[in-house]
Amino acid sequence: MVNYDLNVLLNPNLDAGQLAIEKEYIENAVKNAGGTVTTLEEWGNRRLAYSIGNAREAHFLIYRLALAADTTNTIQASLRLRDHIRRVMVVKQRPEWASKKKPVAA
Amino acid sequence: MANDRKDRGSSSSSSGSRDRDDKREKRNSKNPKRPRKPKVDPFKAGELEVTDYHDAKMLRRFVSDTGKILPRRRTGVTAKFQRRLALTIKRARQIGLLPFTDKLVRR
Repeated sequence: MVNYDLNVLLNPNLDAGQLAIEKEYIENAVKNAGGTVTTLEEWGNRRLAYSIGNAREAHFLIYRLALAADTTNTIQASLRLRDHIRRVMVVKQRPEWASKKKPVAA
Repeated sequence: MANDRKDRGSSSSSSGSRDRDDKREKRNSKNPKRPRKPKVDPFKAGELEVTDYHDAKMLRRFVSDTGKILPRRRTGVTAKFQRRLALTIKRARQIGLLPFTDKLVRR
């Protein structure tokens, strides 16, 4: 199992019900691939540096996942079929690349 | 035709000399009267996180007004962290947190 970040950009004009459906779909896609969601960070609507799908905003969802290494493509492919999902990016977490020093406990 | 070629030749040689002049200026600027303050790599110092592609505000420091990744000779980032920084900037661009290009706004 490897830890990944799953970044999903949704249509900014969704109501609460539609949003819940999309979230459930994403979580099911992860579950079907044999992964588990460790945390979900929801940023809400955020302004973009350039427009995606004719909107200057997007609803950001950031999932932290534990996945088998070869299943990321299947998740991404299934998420990209959804109309309300505007962008998907999966990033492998690399804690060994981190540069910030952790505050030393005195 | 022959004249054209000559013109072109002369123009290229003049630009070449300009390059040389630039280089000479650079060489001189390496040893100015006021010594330049050495740049500190904030990643090496442990102040900032290179792998954090969600922190657009931090990454803006390392991107020009037009959205290009700045060279490390301007920002003082070490080669190792410049490679990682380039990757994080490209990731931030993918999810729309940073621009691929921006129009230059003249003030």
